[in-house]
Amino acid sequence: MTRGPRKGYSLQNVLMAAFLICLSLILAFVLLSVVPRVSRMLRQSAIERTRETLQQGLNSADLYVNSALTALHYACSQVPEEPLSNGGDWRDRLLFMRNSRNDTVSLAFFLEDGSLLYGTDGALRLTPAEVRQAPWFERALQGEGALSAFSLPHVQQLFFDQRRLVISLSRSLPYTEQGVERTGVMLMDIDYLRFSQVADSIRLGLSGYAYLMDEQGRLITHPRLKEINNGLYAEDREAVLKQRVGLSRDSVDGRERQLIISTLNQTRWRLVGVAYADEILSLQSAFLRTISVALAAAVLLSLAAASLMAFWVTRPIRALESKMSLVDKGELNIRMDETGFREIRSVSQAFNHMLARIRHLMDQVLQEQETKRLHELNALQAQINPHFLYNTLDSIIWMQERGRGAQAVEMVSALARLFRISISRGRSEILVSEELEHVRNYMIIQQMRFRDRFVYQVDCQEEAKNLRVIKLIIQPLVENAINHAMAALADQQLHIGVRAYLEGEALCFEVSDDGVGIPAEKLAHLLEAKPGIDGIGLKNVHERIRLSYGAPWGLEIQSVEDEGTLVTVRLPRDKEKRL
Amino acid sequence: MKRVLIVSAVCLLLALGLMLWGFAMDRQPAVTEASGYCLLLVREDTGSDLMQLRKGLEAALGGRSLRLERLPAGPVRPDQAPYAAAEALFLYGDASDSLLEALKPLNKPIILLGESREGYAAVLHDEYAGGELLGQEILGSLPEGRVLAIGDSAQPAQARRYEGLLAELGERVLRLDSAQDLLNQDVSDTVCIAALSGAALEEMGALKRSGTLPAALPLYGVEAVESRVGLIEEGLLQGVVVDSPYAMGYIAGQLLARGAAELRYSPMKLVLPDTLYLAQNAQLMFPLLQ
Repeated sequence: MTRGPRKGYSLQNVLMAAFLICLSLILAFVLLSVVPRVSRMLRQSAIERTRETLQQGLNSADLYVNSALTALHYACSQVPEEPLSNGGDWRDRLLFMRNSRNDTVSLAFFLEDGSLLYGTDGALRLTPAEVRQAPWFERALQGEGALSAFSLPHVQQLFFDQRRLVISLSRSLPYTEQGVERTGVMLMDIDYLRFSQVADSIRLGLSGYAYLMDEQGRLITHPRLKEINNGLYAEDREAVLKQRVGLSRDSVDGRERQLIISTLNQTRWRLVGVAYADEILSLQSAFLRTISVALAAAVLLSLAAASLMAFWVTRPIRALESKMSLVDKGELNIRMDETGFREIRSVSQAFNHMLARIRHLMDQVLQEQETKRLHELNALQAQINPHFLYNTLDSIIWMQERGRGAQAVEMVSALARLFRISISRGRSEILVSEELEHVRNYMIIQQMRFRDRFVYQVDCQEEAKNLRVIKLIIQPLVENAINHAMAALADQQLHIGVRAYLEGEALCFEVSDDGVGIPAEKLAHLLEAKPGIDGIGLKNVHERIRLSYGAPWGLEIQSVEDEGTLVTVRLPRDKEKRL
Repeated sequence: MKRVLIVSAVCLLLALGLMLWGFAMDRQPAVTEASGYCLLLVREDTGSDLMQLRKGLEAALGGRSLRLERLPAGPVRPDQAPYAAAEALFLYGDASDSLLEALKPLNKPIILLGESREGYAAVLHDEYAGGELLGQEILGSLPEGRVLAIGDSAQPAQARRYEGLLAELGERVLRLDSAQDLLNQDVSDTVCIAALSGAALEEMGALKRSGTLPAALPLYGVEAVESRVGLIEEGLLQGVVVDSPYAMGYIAGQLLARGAAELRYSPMKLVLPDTLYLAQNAQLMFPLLQ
């Protein structure tokens, strides 16, 4: 028998796919729920850290500005109310103040008319009128002593032989001159380079920086101020001008930048921190990169684990499949290992039981077939029983010697027909008509031998003639009747009847005689009797019928002592119901 | 079994390799100092212009170091230090054919500063733009009238400045070769004098100081040297176009990064009395301040 092609999905692949799908769902959940949150948190944390750094810078800048203003205020406090008439102590203190601060370039006090009353750095180069027109002078007066004015960075040109890049702080200072209240201006120049360190020292990441800008967008400090002044670099200040405090973003040379804007308290200058996103968010980038690598590695590891796990789980099933293939090829002497998972163990046990049962059934069938053949052989042997043959041949010789040639021919013919049907070219089944013919020939021979001590009648229902039955089942019954019934009847003629008919689903044969019958105690064990010399016995026929047709079929023996015996053979009529 | 083991082994190896590669990227790369250097070759190794130029070059080169080397009086030996190990050469003020020929075997990038040659990257001051700036200022601040431009047309830089001035002022400009020529002119209808060279400006300044030229006659000029500040402060000079050696050096550094043999111009700037002391002009007019 050839097998068709395998169809359907492999259990191993299905298990592997199921595992991968489950893991993918878990990874997707992590990816969609955890990663964005953590990534956002890292981003916010990075920006917050940058803000804190800038805030520290802002605090430093505010501190510096406050200290400068404090210094200016202190300088103002040193000037007496009538400075023109007072001595030089306050001048010495101003000079000491200038020398004590390493960022202070000069201190100078100007009178209301713009003339220099005292300056720490020599003679004034400008005329009083030019001084009065200087922006720092005018703005100081506008502050009216309450506010100090900060100038933009510039080259200080007030004094001879001194050119310094400075930021000027100026403040108006009331004084009295000959009883008249006037307003002068205290000027303090701070070295620009030292001042710019306040912002230039702020580092935001590897490339980030901070710069100061006034309210009109003019740069106060910038780490790339030279390039900007030379038109080699530009800082987009428009966006920054739109807000005093907050965050903004821009892009320069393809790099995204975070702008953090804050305002100095005293000067209202904006301190702008510029942080490059790819630097401050390096942790976020590293996290995303790491999580991506980890997820990709997890997928690969899961694939490996899924493969191994699916293989391990399905291994006993494959072993089962393999051994079943061997069984399919006819190898029945195998045994599954009853180990592993409970379900597999249960299947293995059932499989082993099934195999054992199959082996047992096959042995049983073989044995039955063997028994059948044995019975057939016995039946054949009975047919060529030497006694029967000897007696028959002896009878033939006797007839021939007595001149009964015709009877001898008839006996020989009957004997030939008897053996021909017995052999039946090796067939185990013959037609009902042939079985009855076989019985008829037997009874012809026996009738001649026993000189009509019995008479017989053979009838067959027309519909039953062409049905097939196992051979040599009626002759033993007739032989039994002749041997036992006739022997008991000394001088009475035995009547033997053989009939074949259909009864429902059964094909029935009846062998009846009016002999002495069978005692009840013997009748009960009749089918257990061992075959004797004179015949193979009812048991043999009964077993042969059961071997061929199954349990419900066989012999039924009814007998009444001194009246007779009826043996009914019941066989299935339809071939399909036969074994 | 074999197939499963192979698949599992391949997946494991891939996962391992992926993790090693991925996590290795997180490690900070070792900061290595640049071993090479660039060479700035000059004839004179002093001066504020050179200082500014060097600063601009260093700013553009980033982490690479820059060495200043004075050119020898005799021939250059390119196979010897410091030429041989230099990654690039910047020539400032002297780009003679013989020098370029001598340096050619080095097969290193050579960038010229202040001069240009066919096939070489170079940075020049934008003299033409400088002339334009002067012209625009004169147009914007002075009434219609004649403008006398003092400059030697044989000098390429002065010629370029004149072209720029001419582009803005057109027929208003009258070019004179020297101060002597100016003195032969009637300046009564002249609205201003534009000195196209530093020397010419010095002469004009001196003439104004001496009263030979009217002090009120507006004077514009070129080149930022300390004396210009004095002229401006005295009110004798109304504006000066200055170049930026810092910008020249910076642009030269950018050219090296670009690797192209192109000619670039560094920007010029017009400084007026109102803007003289601003911080953005401090570097130009007071280079020794920083």
